[in-house]
Amino acid sequence: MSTLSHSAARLRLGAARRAHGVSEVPWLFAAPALAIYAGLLLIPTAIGAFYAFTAWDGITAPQWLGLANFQEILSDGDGRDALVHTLLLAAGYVLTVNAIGLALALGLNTALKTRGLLRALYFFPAVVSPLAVAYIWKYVLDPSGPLNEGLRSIGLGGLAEPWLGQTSTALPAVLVVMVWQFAGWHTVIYLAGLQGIQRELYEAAAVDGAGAWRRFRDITRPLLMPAFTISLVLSLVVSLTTFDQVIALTNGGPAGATTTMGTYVYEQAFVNGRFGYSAAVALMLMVVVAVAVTVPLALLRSRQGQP
Amino acid sequence: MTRYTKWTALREAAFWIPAIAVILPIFFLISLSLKTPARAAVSGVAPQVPPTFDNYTQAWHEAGAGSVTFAQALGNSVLTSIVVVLALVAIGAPAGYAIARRRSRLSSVMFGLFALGLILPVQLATIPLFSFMVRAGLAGTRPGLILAYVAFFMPLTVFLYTGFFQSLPREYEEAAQVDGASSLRVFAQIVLPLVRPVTGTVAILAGLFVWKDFYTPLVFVGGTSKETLPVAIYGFVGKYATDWNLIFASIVIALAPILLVYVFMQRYIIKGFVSTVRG
Repeated sequence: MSTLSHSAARLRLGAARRAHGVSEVPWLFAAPALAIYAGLLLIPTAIGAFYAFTAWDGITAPQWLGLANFQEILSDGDGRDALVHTLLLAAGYVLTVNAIGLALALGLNTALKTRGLLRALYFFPAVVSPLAVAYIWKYVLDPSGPLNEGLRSIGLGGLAEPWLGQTSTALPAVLVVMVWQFAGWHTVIYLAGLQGIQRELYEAAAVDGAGAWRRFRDITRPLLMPAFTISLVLSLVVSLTTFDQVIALTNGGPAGATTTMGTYVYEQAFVNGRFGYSAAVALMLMVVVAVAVTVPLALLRSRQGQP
Repeated sequence: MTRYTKWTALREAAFWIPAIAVILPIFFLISLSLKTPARAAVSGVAPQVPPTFDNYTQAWHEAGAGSVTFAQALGNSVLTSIVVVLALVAIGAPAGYAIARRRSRLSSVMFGLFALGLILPVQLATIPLFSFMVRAGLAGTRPGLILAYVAFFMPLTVFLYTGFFQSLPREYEEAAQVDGASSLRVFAQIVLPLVRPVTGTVAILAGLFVWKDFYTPLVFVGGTSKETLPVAIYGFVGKYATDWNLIFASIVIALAPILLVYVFMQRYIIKGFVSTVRG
């Protein structure tokens, strides 16, 4: 009897659902988002990929070139330099920013009294415009700026360099500025990961006689993997698409020593009007980003699959 | 778990070194922005007493190599950020809702499509998009800039909303629908208020992004009266080269609203920036 009335109620509810379309949110809800995203990002990306194989001035009809743009990028000094600078910058940035971020997060995840204040200070540069940050540092790194003056005032004037004005130090200087701005971002990412690890695990391991290193290796490291993955992907995407910092600090100089794929794409399209060639550089950049993000993720996943 | 010992104090001091490395350049920035040109040229980084606010007055009223004053650029940045955030919420939240609530193959395809946009560099799209904007008469206009931002930020918005809706029980909506409310009313009156945390995250991330971004406004509104703050700073440097006192005043004008918001809301802002970590 009770079962019967229960199922009768369910039937009535089911009828009501159908009548009012309860379980179906109309796809129309997603239509505007899809239209804007597809129309202004996905389809332009696809069209851009087509232009990559053409010579196009942005106005007249594009001329099919096949792979000529890509051959030019790899054989021409400027294109190859931009690719090499981008890869060097990204490698240095990803290593540094993740190492510093992890180290600072491990430190902040302890009983420091000013922990909250330190976290807020470390993170602050990440909310400032990268262009503004780069201009502040352009002043700091000026031949007669505070860094060199500071070195001279403590008798280390021999270490003073025209940091942004010579090819040997310009790209590392761009790297330092980027690390200064974003190390705190990666710190808070790792910190969020660390704070998600249950304290009991460490206490149990300590009772079982595991030392600090073993606790890090067997508890922290595996449980921090999600945070590491996010941090790695973000640092790769940010550094491979570097633009603002180079424009502000060096504008690609001296002698092209700091051009990146990001600045090269912009310069070729919007300064030189070579939209087809610029699209080829941008397509190459997209492939580099895709490979750089996918390969380490796949490696991480396959390693995690092993015992 | 651990006691605060002498070693902890020492470690605490060590962790203040990076904090000082963060503060020092900010100190240079503010110190120099409050100096006269003559003092700025010779006096190093020590603050000038009494400070001068002339740099701020000049930056506020004067245009650089671009065509906006900082008063205009500030207005442009505020307006663009607000409209972009409102549009993202109004368009992205229902999309995330539909993707999370429909349990079909199409729904996972849609989710994958938006997720793809998370790592898609915008450089390749920018070139045809710019040429489209020129033909559509949208290049150099604020609606054009806003449209580009909404498109560029839509993947993250939909991604965040979908994740949150998936963890949100359906009971409230179903009860309301049984009572005869339309899908749209259920969404606006019942669902949307429940996802305020995501809306906050989207507002923080997108608002800050628009405020900080240089590339998009440079391409789409560079050289017009619609330039946002970073492009205005760029134009100012183009005109005043190394008059750091003046340039730094312009940077402080762009930074001040962010600093103010950060002081009061840093916990939420940091939470927004790591919200993707926990999925």
